[in-house]
Amino acid sequence: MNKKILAFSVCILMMTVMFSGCVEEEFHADTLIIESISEARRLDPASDYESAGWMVIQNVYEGLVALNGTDSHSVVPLLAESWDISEDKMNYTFYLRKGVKFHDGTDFNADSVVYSLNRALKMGQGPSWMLSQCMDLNSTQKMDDYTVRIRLKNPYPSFLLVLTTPVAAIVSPTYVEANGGVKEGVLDTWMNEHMCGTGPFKFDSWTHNQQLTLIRNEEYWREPARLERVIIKTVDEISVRVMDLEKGDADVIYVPLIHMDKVEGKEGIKIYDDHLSYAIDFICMNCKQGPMANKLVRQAFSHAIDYKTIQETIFKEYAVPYVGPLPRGMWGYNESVQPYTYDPQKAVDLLKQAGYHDEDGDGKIDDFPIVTIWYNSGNDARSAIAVNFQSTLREIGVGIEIREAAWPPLLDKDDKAELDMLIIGWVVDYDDPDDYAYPLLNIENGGSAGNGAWYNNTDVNEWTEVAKTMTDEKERLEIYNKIQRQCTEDAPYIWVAQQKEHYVCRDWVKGHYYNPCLSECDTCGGYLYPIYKER
Amino acid sequence: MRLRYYIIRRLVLLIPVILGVALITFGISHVIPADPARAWAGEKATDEYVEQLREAYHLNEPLYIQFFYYIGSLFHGDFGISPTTGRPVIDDLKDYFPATLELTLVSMVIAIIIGIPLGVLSATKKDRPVDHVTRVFSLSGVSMPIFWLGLLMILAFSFHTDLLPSGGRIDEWLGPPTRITNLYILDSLLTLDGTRLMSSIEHIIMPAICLAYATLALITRMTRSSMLEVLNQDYIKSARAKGLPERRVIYKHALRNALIPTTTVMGLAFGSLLGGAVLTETIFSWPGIGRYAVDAIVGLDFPAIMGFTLLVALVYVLANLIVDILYAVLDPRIRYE
Repeated sequence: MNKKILAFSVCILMMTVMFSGCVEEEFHADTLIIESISEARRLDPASDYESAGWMVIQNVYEGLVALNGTDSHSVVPLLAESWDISEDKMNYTFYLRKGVKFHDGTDFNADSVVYSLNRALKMGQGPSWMLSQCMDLNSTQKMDDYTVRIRLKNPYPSFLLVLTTPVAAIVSPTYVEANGGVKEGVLDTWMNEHMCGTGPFKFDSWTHNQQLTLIRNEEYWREPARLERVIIKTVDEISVRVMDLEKGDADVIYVPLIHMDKVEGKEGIKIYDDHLSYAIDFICMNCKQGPMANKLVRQAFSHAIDYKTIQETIFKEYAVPYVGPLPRGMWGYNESVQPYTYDPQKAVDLLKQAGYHDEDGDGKIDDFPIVTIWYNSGNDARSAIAVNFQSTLREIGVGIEIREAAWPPLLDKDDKAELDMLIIGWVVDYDDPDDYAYPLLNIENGGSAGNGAWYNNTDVNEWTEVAKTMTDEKERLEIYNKIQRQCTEDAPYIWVAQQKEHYVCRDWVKGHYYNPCLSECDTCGGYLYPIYKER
Repeated sequence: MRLRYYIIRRLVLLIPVILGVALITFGISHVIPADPARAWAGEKATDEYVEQLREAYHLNEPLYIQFFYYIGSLFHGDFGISPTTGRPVIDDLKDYFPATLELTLVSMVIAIIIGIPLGVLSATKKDRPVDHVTRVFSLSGVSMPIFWLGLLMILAFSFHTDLLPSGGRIDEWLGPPTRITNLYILDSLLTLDGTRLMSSIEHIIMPAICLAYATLALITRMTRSSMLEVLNQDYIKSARAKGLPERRVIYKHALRNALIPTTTVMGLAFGSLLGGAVLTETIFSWPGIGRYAVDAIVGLDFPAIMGFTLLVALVYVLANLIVDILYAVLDPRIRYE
C-alpha cells in the first residue's frame, strides 16, 4: 500500500513539473530588478573605469552638465544652470544650481566642484586621463559660492562632453573627508564601497557578487524618480537570467548578442534595438612584423572575411558594417568611405600582388606562413568570429591557427607586438572622434594601450595628435575624414561589426531611452531616472 | 592527553605547510611571463597609471623581493589589496568564503545523511532491486554534469513550479541577516530572525543538493563496498551467531568499522567542494569563493590568488586533521603518539 502511495505521489510531482506552465509572474510597480553578468568593480567615480560601475555611478552622482537625451554630442545643464565659454575656448565659467543637497544632507556649491575635480586629478586613477588631458590642479577656481571657472591647460573641443563622464561627477566633500579624505595616487577603499552624490538615487546596500540596491532620493532637486528601489543582481548564467525575465522575477536583463535568439519573440519581453551603440569589434593585424606588415596582405585579409555572415549569425543581426576607427553615428564619421566587403577573388588577387600565390595548384598559397589569431578566453562571440575567419581564409588557401588566452598574457604579448592578429573591441567614453582615433591609430599607443595593430603612419600620427586640440570644427572634421580614408587604405584593422543597442526588458518597463554614451551594450541599466513600470 | 599533544603538533606543522604553499603558489602564479599591470589598469589607462600600479605592487622588483614583501605583509595579517576589485583581499575572503563554507557544510550534511544509509542499505540488500536502483542513482550522480543538473533543477523547481528561488543566498527584498559569521543560516538563528532563516534555507536547498549529488554518490559506493567487506568478517559472523538483532549487528558492529574509509573520502571531498564549487556557484548565482577565485586567476590578480590558495590550503589541512581525529574516535585501536 505504502509503495502505491509513494509511486502515486512521484507521478503527481512529475506531472506537476512537466505540465505546469510558468507560474504567475510577479509585479512590483515601484521596484526595478536588473540582472547582469558582472557587478561593479568600484563605486568611486574617481577610480572606476568599467561599464557596470559607471551604470551605478551615473544614477547616484551628477556632473555639471548632462548628455542631451538620446543625443550623445550635445549637453544640457545639470548641476550647472548655465555656462560661458571664452572666445579662445580655454575658460569655462559655470553658474551653479542653488538648493541642491548631497545625500548626506550637505549643500552642493562651488567648493564641492573644486574638491571633486581636484580629487580625481590627485588620485590619478584609471579614468583620470580624461580630465588630466586638458586640466591640472590649478584649473578649477571658485569665483563665488555658486560660480566656478575652469581654465584649461590646452584647448579641448569636447571638454563639456568630458564633464558628462563619471570621472567628473561631483562628490560630497564632507562625506569623503569624514571617511579618510583624499590620498594622492591611492585608491579610496571607502568610496569604492560607498556613495554620496546628488543624483536621483541613493546608495542603499551592496552584497558583493549578489546584489546592489539603490533607493529613491526623496530630497532630489528635481521631481523624485518614479522608481522607489532598484536592485541590480549578479546572475552569471544566461539561461537563468532568461528564465527570471520570463517569470517576472527580473525586469531587465543583460543578454550577450550571441544569445539574443533566446529572448526574441517571447511574450511579454520587449527588445529595444533601434539605435546604434558605439561598441565596435575588430581584428588587429600586426603591422610591425610578420606577413601582415605588408599592406597588400592586410587588404587581402580585409576582403577575406565574411562580414555579413558574422553579423547575421554571431551578432544575430544586432550589428552593422562600419569603417573604423570611428563608429557609425559618431561626430566625424565619414559616410562616403565604403567598408571592405567579402570578396575572396579580390583577396586572392591582392595576395598574388603581395607575392603569395598557389603555383602548384594544391589549393594552398605557397610559402605563406601559418599566422595565429588570438582572442580573450571565454569570449564565445570572438571564438566564433575566429572560427568563421579561419574557414573563409582556408577557402583562399591560407591557414591560420586560433589561440585564446587570459587578458594579462594577451595584453602583454600585444605590448611586445607578438600577436599576428587579435580580436578585440572598443567602447566609448564620450562622443568625440579623438576617443577612438588617437588610441587606435597613434603609434604612441602601440600595443595594449589601443593601437593593437602597431599601425605607424607618420601622417596619421600627426593628424590624430593635431585633431585632439583643434577648435575649428570644420577643419577638424576634414582631418578626421582624411584619417578615415588613410586608415581604410592602410587596413591595419578589419572592422568586423558595430553593435546595435540591445536592451532586453519586460514590456511593463517604460521610459527607457538610449544614448550610446550612457549605457554600453554590456550593461543593461542605462539612466534610471525616467524609468517606470506600468502594466 | 596524547591526542591533545598530537593536535598541537599538527597545528604547529601547519606553519611550514602554509609557508610551502605560499612559496609554490607565488612561484606558479608569477612564472607566467606576463605583466598584468595593463590588464589591471584597463586598456584605456595612461602609461603613467600602469607604471604607478607596477610600482605599487612591486612588479618591477625581482621575484624574490616581491615574495619577501608578500610574506612580510602576510605576517602582519595583510593579504594586500586586490588590483581588480580595489578592495583588501581579506575583506573579499570574509565576504565570499562563508558563502562557500555554508554551501559546502549543508551539502556535506545532505551527502552524509543520505549517502551512508543508502550505502548500508545497498550492502545489506546486495544484488537485490534496491541495490540496483542505488547503483544507478550513484552512477548518475558521479557522471551527471553539475551544470546540466543545476539548470534542470531550476527549470523544474523554480521556473515551472515556483517552489524554490532560482539563485542567490537570500531574497532580494530582505537583504542579509545581521552579520556575525556571514553564514546566513547561522546568523539568522543567532539573531532569531525567522523570516531570513526560512529564506536562507529556501535559497540553499537547490545548490546544496546539486553540489552534494556527486559526493553523495561517492559516499554511497564507498560505504557499500566497505560494508560488504566488513560484513564478511568473522566478528560479524560471531555477533550474528550470538543471536544479536540484525539491526544492532549492522549499525553498531559493522558500520562503525566500515566508516573509516568513508571518513577519508568525506575529508577529501569537503576540501575539494570548498575549492571546486565554482560551477554550482555560477548556475545558482551563489556569491562564493569559487567564482572569486576563477576571476582572480583569469585576471592574474596575484594578491587574490594567494589569499584564496592559502585559505583553501588551511581548510584542507584542518579537514584532514579532523578526519585523523575521527579515526581514533571510530577505531579505538588507533592511538596517536
